[in-house]
Amino acid sequence: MDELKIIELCLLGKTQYFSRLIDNYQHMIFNLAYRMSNNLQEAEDIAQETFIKAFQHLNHFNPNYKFSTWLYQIALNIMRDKFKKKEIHPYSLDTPKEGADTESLPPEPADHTHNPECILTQKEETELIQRAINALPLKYKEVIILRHIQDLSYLEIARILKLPESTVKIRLFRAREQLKQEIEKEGRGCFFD
Amino acid sequence: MDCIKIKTLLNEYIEQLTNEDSTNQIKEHLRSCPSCQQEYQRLQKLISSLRSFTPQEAPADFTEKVMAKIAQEKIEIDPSFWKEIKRKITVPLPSLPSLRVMGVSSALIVVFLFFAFNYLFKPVEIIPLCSAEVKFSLRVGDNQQIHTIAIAGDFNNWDPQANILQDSDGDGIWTATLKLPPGRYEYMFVLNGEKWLPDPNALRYVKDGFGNRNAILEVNNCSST
Repeated sequence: MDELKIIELCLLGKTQYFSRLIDNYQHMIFNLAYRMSNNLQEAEDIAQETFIKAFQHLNHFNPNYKFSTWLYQIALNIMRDKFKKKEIHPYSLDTPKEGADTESLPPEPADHTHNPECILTQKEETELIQRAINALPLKYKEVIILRHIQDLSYLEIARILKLPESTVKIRLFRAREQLKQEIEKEGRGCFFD
Repeated sequence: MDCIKIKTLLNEYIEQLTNEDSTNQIKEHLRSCPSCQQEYQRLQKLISSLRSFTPQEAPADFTEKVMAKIAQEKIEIDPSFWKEIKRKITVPLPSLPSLRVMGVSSALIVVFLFFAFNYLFKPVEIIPLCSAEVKFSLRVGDNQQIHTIAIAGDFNNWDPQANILQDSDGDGIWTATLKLPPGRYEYMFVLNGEKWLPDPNALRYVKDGFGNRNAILEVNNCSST
């Protein structure tokens, strides 16, 4: 069903239709929250809070923008707030579900000192990058995730962050530079070899 | 171009954002400069690794959980009307002479009372004793793949499952007859449970505020149409 019609129906009191909006966007918001917080439980709480806030303020949604843009704004505001209050600890060693056998042990920094070839598995690479992302300042973390993990265009990111596209470009450039440095530090020079 | 400039431009080059001129210059430079070539490969590896992250999906019962929370905690959509009124009333007033303050606040109170009065003492609704039979019809072209057509509007709480049109003789004209008390109704057709379509034969329309328009039907008396 047409998304704007769903919103109109919700505003007319048929609130059960809101579940369709959640169905459409749950994975998008959950993935963002997980990459930002690096914690599955935290991601679920953030995603829940995002949809509840969106429901409460549905009256304020501007149909000239995409619904996803609005949801991203709500989710990011919730997370900024949580980071500020230190309710999110992105260093928590939550197990990323990157493979079938990753449920048990928290990831440990890979030790390549005894491996002269310094080869990382894909899982190790992912964990290394996630740790490097965690170490970034919040504003850099946001643009890296929105651009390269959520695969959004510069225009969409600019709308979400309410910034000019040129500013997004510069911020992303700096974020990537810092991310490369963090990866070098965390991966002890193994990642880029 | 020197290496410092190239390394800055690589960020745009890798996302295909450079113009043709710069692109050619960068390509040429990369062929002859191992250091910039290495930098380019590092950037390429970083971006492709980020893109290869497995998307983390929400738990299977996520939607149910959120909807249950909304129901249990009796969360409602904010009525923006009241919020606006409240915001106007609670705007901190600048320090003005007390008479002026009183003037402004009493004006606000009058406005508030006016709305509150209208809200609390709505005119008693007169329940019509009769209803008219209204026939809705929609002609569908042969090339359209239509499985169901429903009608949703003020009269059925915009439920796209409540009133389904029929085309029993297969002539492409789908119809439904509804009994409606006199009144003004907004409605739309719903094709295949997905596509919302304003009635092309309606006499009047109103913008629905979401880029589409609702058809308007006015039933003035109880004679069937």
